Parts: sequence; C-alpha cells; structure tokens
Amino acid sequence: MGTIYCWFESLFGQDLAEHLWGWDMSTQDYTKGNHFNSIGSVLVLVTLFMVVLFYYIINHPRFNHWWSWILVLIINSGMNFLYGWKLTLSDLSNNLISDDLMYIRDVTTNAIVTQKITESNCVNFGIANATLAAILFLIFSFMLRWWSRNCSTCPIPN
Amino acid sequence: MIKSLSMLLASGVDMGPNISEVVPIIIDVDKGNEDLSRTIEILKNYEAIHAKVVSGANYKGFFQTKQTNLFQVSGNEYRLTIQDVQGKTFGQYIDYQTQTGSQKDLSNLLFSGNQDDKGKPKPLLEMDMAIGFQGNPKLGCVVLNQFKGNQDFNTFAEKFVAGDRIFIISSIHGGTGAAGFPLLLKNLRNADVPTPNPALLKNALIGAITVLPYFQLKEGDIKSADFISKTKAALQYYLKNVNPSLNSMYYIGNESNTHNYENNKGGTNQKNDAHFVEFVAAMSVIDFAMQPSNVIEVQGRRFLEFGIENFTNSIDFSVLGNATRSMVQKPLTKYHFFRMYLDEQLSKSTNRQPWSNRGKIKITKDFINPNSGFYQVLDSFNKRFGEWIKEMAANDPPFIPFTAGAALLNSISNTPAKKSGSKLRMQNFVLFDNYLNEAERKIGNPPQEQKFIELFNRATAKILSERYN
Repeated sequence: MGTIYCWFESLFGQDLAEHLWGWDMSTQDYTKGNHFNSIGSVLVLVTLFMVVLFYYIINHPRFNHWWSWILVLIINSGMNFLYGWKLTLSDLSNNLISDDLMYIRDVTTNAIVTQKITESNCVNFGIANATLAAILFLIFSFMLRWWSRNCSTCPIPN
Repeated sequence: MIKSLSMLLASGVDMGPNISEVVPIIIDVDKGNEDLSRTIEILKNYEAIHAKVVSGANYKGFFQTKQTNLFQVSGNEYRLTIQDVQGKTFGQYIDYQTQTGSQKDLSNLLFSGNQDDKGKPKPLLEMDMAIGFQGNPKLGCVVLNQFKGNQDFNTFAEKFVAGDRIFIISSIHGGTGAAGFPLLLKNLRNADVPTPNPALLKNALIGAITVLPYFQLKEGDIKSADFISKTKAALQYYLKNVNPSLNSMYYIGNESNTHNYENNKGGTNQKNDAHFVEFVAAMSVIDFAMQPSNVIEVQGRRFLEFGIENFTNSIDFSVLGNATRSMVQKPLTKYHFFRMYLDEQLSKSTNRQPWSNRGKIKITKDFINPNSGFYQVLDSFNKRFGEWIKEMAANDPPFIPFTAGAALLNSISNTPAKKSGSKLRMQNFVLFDNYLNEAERKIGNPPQEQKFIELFNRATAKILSERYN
C-alpha cells in the first residue's frame, strides 16, 4: 500500500513517507509499524462503505445523476483528506516522528538548522489520501454499480 | 360503449379463458357521426398498439385482448356496410314513387308521419338516411333488414367458428339500435344457407345489452320526451320476440340525473360525452365473456341489471359493488398511473433512469417522440383515455374514479394509499421510477415497444400491491 502512496511522495515529502513506512531512528530500522497500511485500510473501508452507501443503501432514483455521484466522491475524498491530514499532524504535534526525519541539525551544536516535516507536508499528505480515495471510489463504483437497482447507470450509462 | 370497452381492454381487464379476441362490428348508417369517428380512431390505435406490445398467448397486461377489424380487406373500418342508404331518402329506398295501389296505401299507413327538420315538419318518406334513422325504429327495421346476403355479414359468418360468442349492444330508445337489434338476432337465430356457417350461428352463445334512456336532449328535432314510451313499447316487444332467443340479456339505464345533450340528429355535430352508463354497458360484455358456457347455454334464462353498492350523487370505485370493483379497479388504476407518468414524468426520466438506458434495448428520447412511430399512436390513444375519464367525471351522475391534479398516490378518489412509515420513504414518481428500475431487471430484451409497456405493467402493479390494500 505504501508503494501506492509513494506515487505522491513528491507531494508530501520523502521524510514524511519514511515516517509513515515506520522508520525508527533508535533502531535505525522500520520498526514503528507501517502507517501506510493502517491509513490505506481505513481509506479502502471508508471508500467501500461510501460506494455501498451510494449504490445500495441510498439507491435512490433521484440520485441517479453524475452530480450526485460526484458529491459522494467529494465527501469520501474529504473524509479521507481529514483523516490523512489529522493523523500525520497528530504525529507531528506529539513528536512521534523520528528526529532525523524531522530536522537537520548542526553536527557540532546539535541545533536545529532546518525542519524537514511541517504542517504543509501533513496537508499535502491529506491531499494525496483524498486523491487516492477518489481513484478508489471510481474503481469501486465501476466494480459494484451493476447490481444497483436505481443507480447502476451512474455516473455514466452502462 | 365500444369506446368504454376499448378503454377497459387497454387497461388490461381480463375477459377470462374463453375469449382472447374481440371483433367489434359497428352497424351505423351515419358515417360522419363524430362519436363514431372517435370510436374508430380508438379502435385503430388499439389494434396498432396491441400488435406491437403483445408478446404471446401468455401475455397479461395493457392491451392484452386483441381487437380485430373484420372488414379490413374491404376497406371498412369496423363498420358493417348498410347498402343503398347513402344519398337517398327513405321514400327512394322503398321505391315509394313507383309503388301503386295497396302497396302505396300500406306505405302511407306505416310511414305517414313527420319528422322535425330544423323546427319544420318533414314527411318521414323524405328523410335523408345518411345520418341514421333519427329516432325512428320503424324506418330502421325496413332498411336494416338486409343482413341476409349482405357481403359484410357473410364475411362475419364465414369467419365465425365454434366457441365464438356474439354480444349485441344497442340502445332501445333511438332508431338504429332499437330497430337493428331484433333484426340482427333474428338473422342469427334463423341463419340458413347461403349464409356461411348457419348451424354455428343458430346455436351461438348470444348475449346482449339494451341501453334504456340515460340522457335527455335539449329542445330540437329529436324529442327525448318520447324515449320512455318508445322504450316501453320496445321492451314489450323484446319480451316475447327477443328475450327467449338470448343466452344473456343485460339492462342498463338511468332515468334521472341526466344531462341534456345537444340535439343533433347525427353527423359531425353528434359528439356526446362519455357516460357512466356506457362504462357499465361495456362491463356487461366482459361479464358475458367470462361466463362458463354451461352457465349461459340455456336461452331465455339469464337477465341482469346493474346495481351500485352505495349510490351517491358522485360515483367512484369505493361505492361500486365488490364484483364490479374486482373486475375494473385494479386495471383501470394501473392504466391511470401509466398515463399520468407518461404525461408528467416520462420526459424527465427517459435517458436518465436505468429503466430507460440500461440493457441492450433502451427507451430513448426518439422512442418517446409524440410525433412519430409507436409512441405517437399510444399518445393519441391516451389522450382519448384522458378525455373519456374527464367526460365521465363531468357527466351526470359523475363517475370520478380519479382525482384530477392530485399527486400520484393520492389520485384514486376516496382510496387513500397506505400511510408511509417514514418521510424518507419514496413517494409518487420517485417510487414509480424505483419500481420501473426494478422491473427492468426482470424483463430481458424484448423489442422496444414490448419492453416499454411491460415495464409499466409491472411497475404499476407493484405500486398497487405495495401501497394499497
């Protein structure tokens, strides 16, 4: 799953990616646990739920429009954006990111020269997560829509 | 009445296992009669729609019963040609001018009366027959006594097969019907060579409805004040000469609560609004068709009238008896829903809802073009259906089965839909689209016209079963 997220690495930064892969400075290895998998799992489950919600629970004749589908897609992406952004922001705020990923320090004074991961990286990760959610929503839609009574021809006729 | 029968058959009223085809034959010398023109248009459209939508013998639903024009080959539109009447006066028809002696005296005795013509008296012998017999059965029974040897009558006899039934609809207070009914019956019961299939005709199961006065006319050439006396005389005659030969005889009429129609003798001006009595008369055809042969095989035993469970000044399904309701309420309501959807929702849902754009056979905007193809015919038929409902509602007594302007689920008069458990539950056309989409899954890929009608057959049935008791 991390590999897929890393298509967007240039967006949210290699250092945040390393953190999400589970890099731990103290062990010099990826021992913290793979955040990509957990975030990705949430993304898959939430998106799957939203697709099922749209096609089988709401399943409403008046929702059989491309704009209704787009609306649900945006809501899904929005939720996944918030999740990705808040989760990484929380790690950032609570100093859970390894120091070597967070900062460039002066080798003699150990003073922080540059902060490598900032809030904007977190926002960008949220955007990456939202983009993936949109792509997955599209894929799930085309996989699952066929059996929907009222929305199977949404977003485009089959 | 044929109009009402066509509307009932269009809505899918079942005629039972004995009858799968109706062959309407109209006997009316008044070719230009506007009511007749409307009826023929309805029959032609019905036939065209039936041909497109019925997929096989097992099909049940809208337009399921075939209606056939027996005289298509001769170019007649459902009408049995009465020869020698067009452009002739009654005197010319009986060769009054060439009659002499006792023959002429007899004609003078029988036909010496006058008929009002634009307020002035005109001798019956000078009456133009192109617009019918204008309330004079004594003229009708002379002119119509030509079934034997009539080419169209022979065509009918030729096509008649064992198991076929005959039903004669006539009014008792006019000219053509009152005169033609006993003559027609006599020609059937006494059929003989060279008429084809005489034995079959003689022994055919024959039912009839005689329509007693149910409207009055404004002051004019035809006097509706005479209707009752003419009716009494005819009933007296029928008692001995008609009733014993029938397998079923139905009576319907409405002495009070009648509208005064325009007093037109015939032609394009004769355009009477549809009436509840005609609707009931049409049901008698269906009742007769549904009877098992052993119930009606004895002649002169079965006589029926129509009653309403709780008569009020306005009639709807809720005041009809159970037998009537079970015959017509469901199919008519289904058709009403169908027509309402076509009028108010179809263009909005076509190309958008899955029932329209899913599957191999799609219902496209081109298909629902009211100016061409199948939909044009259907649209034209439905306009007549709407007109029919509207006219019956405006007549007296008013028959108002559906409430105009109401939302779909509130549109059956005095029959509320089941209360919805939740405000989120689908209603009206949304519910309709939902059931159409459901139906689309089960229909497969028949031709476009069949798919279209079957979608509505199923969806309307589902609305009734889910939302009404």
